[in-house]
Amino acid sequence: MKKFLVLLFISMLVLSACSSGSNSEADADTNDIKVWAWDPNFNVKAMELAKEAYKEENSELNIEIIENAQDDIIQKLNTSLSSGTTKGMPNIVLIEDYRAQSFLRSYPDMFYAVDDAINTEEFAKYKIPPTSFEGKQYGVPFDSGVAGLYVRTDYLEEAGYSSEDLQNADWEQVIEIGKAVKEATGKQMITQDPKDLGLLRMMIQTSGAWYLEEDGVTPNIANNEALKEAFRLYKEMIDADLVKPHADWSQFIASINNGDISMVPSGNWITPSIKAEASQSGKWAVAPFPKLPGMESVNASNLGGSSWYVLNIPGKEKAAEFLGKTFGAEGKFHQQFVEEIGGVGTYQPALEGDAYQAEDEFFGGQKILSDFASWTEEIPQVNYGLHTYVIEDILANEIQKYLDGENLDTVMDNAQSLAEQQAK
Amino acid sequence: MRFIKDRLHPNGLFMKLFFITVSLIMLVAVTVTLATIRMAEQFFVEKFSITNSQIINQIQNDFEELNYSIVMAATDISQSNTIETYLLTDEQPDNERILRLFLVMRQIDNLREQLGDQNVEIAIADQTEIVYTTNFTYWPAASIDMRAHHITQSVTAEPNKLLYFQASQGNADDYVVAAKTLMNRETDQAYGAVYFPIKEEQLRSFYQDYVKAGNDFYVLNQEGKVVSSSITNTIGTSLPELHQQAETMVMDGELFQEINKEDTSKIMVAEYLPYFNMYLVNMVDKQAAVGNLIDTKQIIFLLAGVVVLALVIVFLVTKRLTNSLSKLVNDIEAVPKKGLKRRLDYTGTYETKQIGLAFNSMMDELQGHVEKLLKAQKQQRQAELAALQQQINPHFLYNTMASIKFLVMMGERTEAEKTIDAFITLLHNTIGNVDESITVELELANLKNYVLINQKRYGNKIQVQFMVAPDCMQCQIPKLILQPFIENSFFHAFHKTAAGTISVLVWKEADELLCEIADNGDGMAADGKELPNTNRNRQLFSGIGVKNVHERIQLLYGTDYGVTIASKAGEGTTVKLRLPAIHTEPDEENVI
Repeated sequence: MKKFLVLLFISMLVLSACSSGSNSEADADTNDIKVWAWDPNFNVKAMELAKEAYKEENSELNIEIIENAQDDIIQKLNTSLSSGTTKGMPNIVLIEDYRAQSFLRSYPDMFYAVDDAINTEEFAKYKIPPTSFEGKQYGVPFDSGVAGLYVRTDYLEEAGYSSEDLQNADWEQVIEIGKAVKEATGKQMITQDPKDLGLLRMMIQTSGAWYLEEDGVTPNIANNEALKEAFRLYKEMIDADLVKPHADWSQFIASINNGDISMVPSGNWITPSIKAEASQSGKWAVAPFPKLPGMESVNASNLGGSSWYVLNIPGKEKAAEFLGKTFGAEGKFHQQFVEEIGGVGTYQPALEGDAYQAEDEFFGGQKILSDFASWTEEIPQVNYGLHTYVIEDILANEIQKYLDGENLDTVMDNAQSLAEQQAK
Repeated sequence: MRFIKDRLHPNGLFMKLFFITVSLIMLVAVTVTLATIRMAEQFFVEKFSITNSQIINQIQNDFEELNYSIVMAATDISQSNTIETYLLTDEQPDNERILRLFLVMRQIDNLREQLGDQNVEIAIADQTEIVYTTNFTYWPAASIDMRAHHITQSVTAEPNKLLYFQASQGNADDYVVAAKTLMNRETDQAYGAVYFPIKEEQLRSFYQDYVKAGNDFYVLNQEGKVVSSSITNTIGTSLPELHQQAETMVMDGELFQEINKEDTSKIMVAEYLPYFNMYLVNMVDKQAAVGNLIDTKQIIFLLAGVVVLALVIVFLVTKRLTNSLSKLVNDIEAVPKKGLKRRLDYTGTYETKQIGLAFNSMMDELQGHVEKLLKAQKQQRQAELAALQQQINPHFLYNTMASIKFLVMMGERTEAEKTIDAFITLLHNTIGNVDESITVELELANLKNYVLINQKRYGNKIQVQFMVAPDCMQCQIPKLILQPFIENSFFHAFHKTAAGTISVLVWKEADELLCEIADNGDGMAADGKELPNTNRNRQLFSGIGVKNVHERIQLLYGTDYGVTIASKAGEGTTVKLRLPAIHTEPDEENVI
């Protein structure tokens, strides 16, 4: 897979090198549109498809896609936008939903509202709050990041379970199965990066909760029952030795592909990585994301997911129109996005397309895209607000204390006060 | 060609002077220019190298700072119990490991943060594989067996050192990896290693600002491999030659070196990076560095301009100097053709003026001498002639005296008286009159007296007629100029023919006075154009013979005048004298 990444990256570079001819940003009537995105396998590829599809619409528009690491994009955006210069900035940039509000709030004039280019009604509802600001729509919702629980059916069977047992399940039930599987096969349930609390984020979103209040600013930790429950479940899994630690992405993928773990709770974008180990074909299934026990919660959540933003620089109208006519309209693009990338979009009309009905032999013939699409509609809408990652840093620290045996309420209170200090 | 040569020939001095001066100017110009360019180049190279070695020192500092921060991080990691425990205790259950992992990650993340903006990441490994890396896209970017890795093996061999390695991965980014073994201080057992993958761009950024066209940097490790370079395609390749040069340079403490590689000349500055155990090499294309400073084209144009200007000036000045000389030479050459009276006229330089002056005074003197000489010669000649004409032949005297005695004896008193009168007048006119020239009238009187005397002696068989144009009577002629011819006819023309007539004709034709003495005597053979030498004849009246007459006339009047003789055997002889018609006393000064 790495080789493939490298290859794609290089071809990207070559492509961008080829198309980088004349860039006159000062020209208001420019036909050159620059796009920044990360992940050549998914985001960049999707943009390539959109570019191809748009050629039928407007062949004069010259779209240049530049691949950058997400951290680099964030850094460059912050540096440029905070100094008020737009020199060298792209027309379109991909921003993760968790971070979007922070940008929109900090630099409201630097983004161009796309209300005229898309119909927000047509997108998954949960995507709208993170991508809009003060009643205006700024982001064109892209991938859903809809979460699922990927499970090894062969391991489950050894412990006497099937993927049926995971339908509409809550975490208590899942942990029980995990324990049984571990007993039967010796394989741990999940693998976890102790710094990355994506699992907890997915858990709390099932009940419509987040690290912040609905205003997107006030930390909501001490009295956040969903978060407390997620903490508790996390500790339970660790105490039961169901969690295999990993330190980075490659170790994460290695654990999955080596068959070290029985379940992967993650966003749908993990599908290509799981399918990369072809020998495991037919041994996987995708179950709905488990809900939190004992509270209002649904079997649907989200991890990651990002949207396209148009910067308020010359070429913005054309850029917005391009996004609206591809990501925000029915057409060839969505079909190809599903068929060629296996992605799940957030444009509702497309979710009913034939492509989503395809059965995936790797997942035992399961129509995973169709399932993801239906779960997408159920994802509770939350406001990710401004400080997702600031608070997550605090929580990652505090949860260690909890795991070490400190009282949960004390830990949460402590986290709350730290968050109030740091997240303003 | 011949024309040019002829033109140039008199200017031999000019040509020599001009060409020598031109060659010297060229020589001086070229030598001075070359020396100047060389000196300037050396100066620039030296300055440039000093600046560059300062830059190199700056870069070296940056490298050392990076090394220092890495060393600090490595020390922190090697002293961390948390990390040691995590790496050592593999057997613990995962639920405890996950807590420890978090702490390890936190600590390493903090250390990473302390490294700041630099493109350096941290990876720690236990004895088999990478356990945690702050950026998984960096080296080694794939889970590989670290035990077999050459970096691990090298650091294990030197456990207390932080070592730097070059790590390229095909088409991916190039890295320099700093690595150190993690050792337990008490047991001296290695429990893992820490790696600091540094993006090559980071090292490049230290010197990137100084990179220009023709100014390149290389960082070479001990194997001569390029670790970092401004010429990116050389990264990872081996340049053992360059490494060897750098090593020698640093060892010898040389500041810079000039290297002639292929057809380019380069200035090389090298510095050892001690902690990295690498060489930082700066190669500057001399052409790019110095070539721009010295505009050879402009210098050559300027030089050519100055030389041409100098040539023009030299040409003009030399021409002016040598012109007066060559004119002098020309004039001197012309002197023999044009006569001694020619004088030089000079306006040239002091020297040529002096030469002209000296020449003129020399010519004056010479002319004076020649004139004196001529005058002396003439005087001598005249003295000679005078002497000759004074010399009355004694035979003539006593023959005449004998004739008179005979007449007296015969009693012909009247005849004797007449003869004595004629003899007295003749002697008076020839000996008594000291003048050179006399009138035609007087000469005729002398002739008549001479004829009378001869007729008294020899009888009247030979008659003499005088036909003289009246306007000739007062013309001046040299004394005794006609007498020798009559004498000649008297004694030589009438051997076969006993009687005859001698006619003397004198007339004027234009400016010339013509005298003709014709006899109807024997005549001479066709070839007898020359007059007989009668000098030794005892019957002669004076020392002047016919032979002298021609010479005398020419001496007196020039070559236009003289004597011509026409004679035919049996018919007589005609002698014709051509003389200038001079009425007044002639000015002898004008003759020369």
